[in-house]
Amino acid sequence: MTITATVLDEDMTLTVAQLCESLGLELDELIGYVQEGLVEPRGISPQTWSFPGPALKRLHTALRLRRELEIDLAGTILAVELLEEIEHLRARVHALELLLGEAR
Amino acid sequence: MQYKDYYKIMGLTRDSNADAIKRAYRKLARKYHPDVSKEPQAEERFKELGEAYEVLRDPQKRAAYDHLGSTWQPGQEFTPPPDWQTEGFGFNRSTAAGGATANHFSDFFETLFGHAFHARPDASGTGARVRGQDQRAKVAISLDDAYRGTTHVIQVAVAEADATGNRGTRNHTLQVRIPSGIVQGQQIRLAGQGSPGMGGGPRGDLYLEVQLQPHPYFEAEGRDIYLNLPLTPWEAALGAQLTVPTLGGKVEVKIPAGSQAGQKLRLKGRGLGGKTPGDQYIVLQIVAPPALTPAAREAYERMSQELQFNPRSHMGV
Repeated sequence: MTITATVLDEDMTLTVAQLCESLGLELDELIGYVQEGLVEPRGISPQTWSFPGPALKRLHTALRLRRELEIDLAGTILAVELLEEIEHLRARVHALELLLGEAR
Repeated sequence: MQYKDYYKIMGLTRDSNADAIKRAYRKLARKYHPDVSKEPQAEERFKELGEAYEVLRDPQKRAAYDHLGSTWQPGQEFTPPPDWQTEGFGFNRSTAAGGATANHFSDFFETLFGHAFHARPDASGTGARVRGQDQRAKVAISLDDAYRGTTHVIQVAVAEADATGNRGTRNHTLQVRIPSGIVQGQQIRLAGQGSPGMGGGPRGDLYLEVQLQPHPYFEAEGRDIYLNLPLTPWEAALGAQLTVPTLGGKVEVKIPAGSQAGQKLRLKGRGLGGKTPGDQYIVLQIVAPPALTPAAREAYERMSQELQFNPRSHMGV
């Protein structure tokens, strides 16, 4: 049997319930991350919020870092943003190395 | 079952105090945290570290562990002492249906301390209908497969609890249809392929994070694709109509006359798909043919006489 995968891209929508259930997250915690700007919901109140697919990965990374490295909310969000920036820069470096012929 | 040297894992000695243990944990956790670390086997090291810390941070568990003695070598075949259960440490195996988690500890830990210590309290023994936990794994796919979409057979270790609540992992083979246009680091969800639920609860989901494998000549940056395209000096100078590879197949590209190395040409919409597909960038590179034959040497000499060209004039030399 072949299982079809759903891509968690920007067009995909996750509800508050789905996010909280998947991550074992309380609504209050989710609101905290939203207030700090880690993830941006569509909709005006927590009752009607929905999130784009990539929010799940961001929140998952944040929760792991916070729990496992014992860092506070602001520090966690800074770490997630810096990690994403590093990932982006790393992809750029790879592309540039290729263009300079170093990858060969 | 193999003996684990928790002190060695944490780089500590047996007389380290609680502060030293905490410091060592913090430091190594930052070093090996799978979200942060680029070390090989970071995931494994981090797990091992978590287990070591779980034991050494807890005076009761640490005392019990120390009681095994210091003559064991890491990896040595280990059987618990016969008096283990009666030592009064109280680590009898729990039979509560502990929540299955992917982060289970080693057999060594389980044998010594059972799983009552890290079972999720919310899920144990209540008989409640609980949805299974979501699982996460990584999957490596080629750029070509990412572009076209693919059916991939993957093996995932699914954590499960049997009827008596004993935990274990089972290798599970799944055939997965991955849609086209996936990009590096993106997650895909396989509904109902995570850990089984309890009390009749549904299974959790399985999330796979996509890692794109390196390609011999394409490089992906998000949805955009970069290709280094070598040209001869005359193709660059005179312009040319060339066949160029893209992920979707070969295309004809017009190289304008007077092109220089480093210039970029954009093939719109030829990158990785999605609602807004990326572009393919062709970066021009000029390759000088070697002057190996008298005729080739003659051609270069004629160029040097006829083309008044100093590429270093801007340096004032």
